[in-house]
Amino acid sequence: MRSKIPFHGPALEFLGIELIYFIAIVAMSLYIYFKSREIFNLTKHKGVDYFSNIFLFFSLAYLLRLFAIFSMMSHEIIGIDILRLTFGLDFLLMGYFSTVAIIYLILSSMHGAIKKKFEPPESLIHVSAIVFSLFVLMTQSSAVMLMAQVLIILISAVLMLIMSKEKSKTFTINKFSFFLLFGFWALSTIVLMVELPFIAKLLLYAISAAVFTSFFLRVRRRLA
Amino acid sequence: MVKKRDRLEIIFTILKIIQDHDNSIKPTPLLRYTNISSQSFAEYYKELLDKGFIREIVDKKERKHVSLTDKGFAFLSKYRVILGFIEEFEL
Repeated sequence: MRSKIPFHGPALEFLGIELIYFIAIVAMSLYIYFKSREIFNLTKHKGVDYFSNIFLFFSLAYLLRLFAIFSMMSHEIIGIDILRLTFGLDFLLMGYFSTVAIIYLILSSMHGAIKKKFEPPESLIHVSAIVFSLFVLMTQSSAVMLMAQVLIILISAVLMLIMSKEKSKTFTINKFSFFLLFGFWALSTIVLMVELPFIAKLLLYAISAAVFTSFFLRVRRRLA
Repeated sequence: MVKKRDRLEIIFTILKIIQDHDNSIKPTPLLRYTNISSQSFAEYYKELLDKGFIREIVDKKERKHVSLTDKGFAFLSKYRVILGFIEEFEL
């Protein structure tokens, strides 16, 4: 598996599918963010705050992923190699946004499931993500970014299990669906690192979009 | 620790009592109708003022009344939706 830059760019004919996929994910995430934010503004409920922020930061991370793909193709499309110009910043921001999204995903899953109240200050969340993304930038490896994020998720899952109120209710289908969001983020990162057959990529995007769509529909049903 | 749902229910109860009293009630009867400890009530009362759900109005006889703001009315009308959303995603 090739993890160092540059990434493998998609075939030009696949770019349309990538474009539709990422725009759909970003649009649905932003819808969920703004709708759940209305509830947060009324209640100041921390769980709702964490939930809405998952989708805000995932939308930003996916937007940058789209930009990264466009950058890879920029030489062929517009004759300018944008990837070479913006890679460092792109990589740093992608690491930062995805890590913040993952931290909120963990906090959202933990909220209400653990015995003690655990509400870290916003500044701590962002500083941790900045330190993490700077570390990732130094390695310039998306594989390192992915492995570190998987490690964060695993440690949190263990902590959740130890600190949970009721063991049977710690990992419900609902919580599992939260972690699927990370799962597909991870897979979409892998797609950038390795060449996958067209059909495998298409399948991956279809399932990933289905996960986001299920969240979108549930939020729409409740808050539309 | 009070569970989130209970907390929301108490907030709903306080706001509903104010609404049911023609949107104007003195703090002391409000405490009595709410049926929670005065210490808890003071915390909720302050929170509702801070969040802008209620406001205090002093009449000509210097008596303090509490009434709902637009945000308070919005919370009441969306209460079931809010609870449903929180339960749906186990927040």
